[in-house]
Amino acid sequence: MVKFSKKNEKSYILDVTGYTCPYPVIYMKNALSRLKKGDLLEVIFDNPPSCETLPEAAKEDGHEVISLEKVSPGLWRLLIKRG
Amino acid sequence: MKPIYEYKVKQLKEMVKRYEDLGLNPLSLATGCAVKVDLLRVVYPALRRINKEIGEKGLRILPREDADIIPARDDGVEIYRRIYRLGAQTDINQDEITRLKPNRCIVLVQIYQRYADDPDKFRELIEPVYLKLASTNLDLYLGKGHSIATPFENDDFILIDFLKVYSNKKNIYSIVNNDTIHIVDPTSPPSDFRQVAGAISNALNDVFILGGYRNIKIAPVINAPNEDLRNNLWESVASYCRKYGFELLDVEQPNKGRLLLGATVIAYTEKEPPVFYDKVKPGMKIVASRPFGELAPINVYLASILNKNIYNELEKLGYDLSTLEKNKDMIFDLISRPNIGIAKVISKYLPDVGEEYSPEENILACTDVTGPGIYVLYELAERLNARIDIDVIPLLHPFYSKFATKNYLMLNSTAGTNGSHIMVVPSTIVEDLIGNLKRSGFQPYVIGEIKEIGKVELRVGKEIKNYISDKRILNKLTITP
Repeated sequence: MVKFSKKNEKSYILDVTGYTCPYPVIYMKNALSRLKKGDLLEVIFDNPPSCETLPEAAKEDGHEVISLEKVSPGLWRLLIKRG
Repeated sequence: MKPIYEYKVKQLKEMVKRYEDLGLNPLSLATGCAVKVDLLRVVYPALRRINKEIGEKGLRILPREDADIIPARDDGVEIYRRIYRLGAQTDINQDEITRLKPNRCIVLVQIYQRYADDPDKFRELIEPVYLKLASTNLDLYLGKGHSIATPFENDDFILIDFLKVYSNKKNIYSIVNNDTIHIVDPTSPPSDFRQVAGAISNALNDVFILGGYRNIKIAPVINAPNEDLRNNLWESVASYCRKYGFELLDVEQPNKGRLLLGATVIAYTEKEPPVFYDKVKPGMKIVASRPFGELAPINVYLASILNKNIYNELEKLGYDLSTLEKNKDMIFDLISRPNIGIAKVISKYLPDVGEEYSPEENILACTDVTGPGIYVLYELAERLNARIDIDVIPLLHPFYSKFATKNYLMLNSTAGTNGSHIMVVPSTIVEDLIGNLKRSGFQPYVIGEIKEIGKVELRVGKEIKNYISDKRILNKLTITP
């Protein structure tokens, strides 16, 4: 299941591993709508096409993409600052 | 929030609960054909690395066609299905295969999605199976394979339908294909007849475009996490076969993992299949049997229910949930119907087996618009070694396709399942073909033309960017102003 949790003050984690398109984008949009401007969201995912859709969707909605990194084979972490 | 929205959210929650009671999470299942392992980045590079070694031992992977074309009657083809573990631990039984003496095989690979992005990992999983298969020293052809990703670790396997071709009559062809999906519409129950019907019709589509429609046999690939649902799905397959007069073959099932719907399908044709690639000429027309983009309304509907901001945006643009749901249901109905009519129309424009291709009377080549969407036209250009110019991109619901792309719900909203059929035809028969397609209930369009031979290119107008954001696909296309 999708896991959304607070990491620390102004920093949150969304784990959408196991989900394929279009769900990672939908859940990321849901999570970002719950944050305040300047809060950080770390999205963990394992759906390869999301490497493209998640950063682009975040930028399209006015957020800042800070980094996208491959943390292990087939697993990525995207860091977004809520705009 | 309007009451209808709240009601639909409640309905979806209830549906999710129904799936969960069956041990499934519908929101982790990809819709339609969206679940394939990437051919360009993963499958082809992996196969290129092992092709030489296995080829030298007698296992040959045939060039990519939509389905395997076997010069033999279907009653001369027997299927032996075997399911093995992937990777170094594969339990493939070489002695048994040697005894069976198959001469062709059709393969389905399901791999964990974390490995689905890495050609080396993909190769590591399939190489041991293919090497063991090759070391049987049988003269074996791998006619068609497809690879899908699963979000569940330990659900990976390789399913091989070994085909033993008895007669080798050159006057008839059997067309064989395998295709599977996880779900067509996650907002409907898994036991909905249309889920299974869509999956099997989708497998048949590749057989139909090659003219095969006689004596159709269905060897289902059905899996579910519990026996009740498995039985239910099997009954849907049986009902589908009864409804359309297809023969149901009782074959081994994976009995492993979550939901999987599809089949290996066989039909025969007394016509030469439309693979006359070397006869292509500039001026030939590209005809689509109907608009494409089936998956966009399903994905937009799902997204609207799961994210109220997406729904609000949709509403601001003048689209309401009831209309969207109606469109989504119409698409679900469309996907669930086998397109046998297309095979009958195509067959009218094919030479009899053994006859020469007529450049004035025959269809030259066909394909169908599935997971890769309009990118199948680039693959067609590759097969034809030609430049194709596309003038029209007919979509079932351009608004939803555009909306899905703009919101990054889909990288390619021209994608479909059991989708439209693309035909390359000489201009002399276009009018007659269009008339025949209309009389058979299709909504055909002339979408483009062959412009040049000896150069692989797909030219398409800039509006394609409204429907595709996948850079790997866009980079392959020549986008015109």
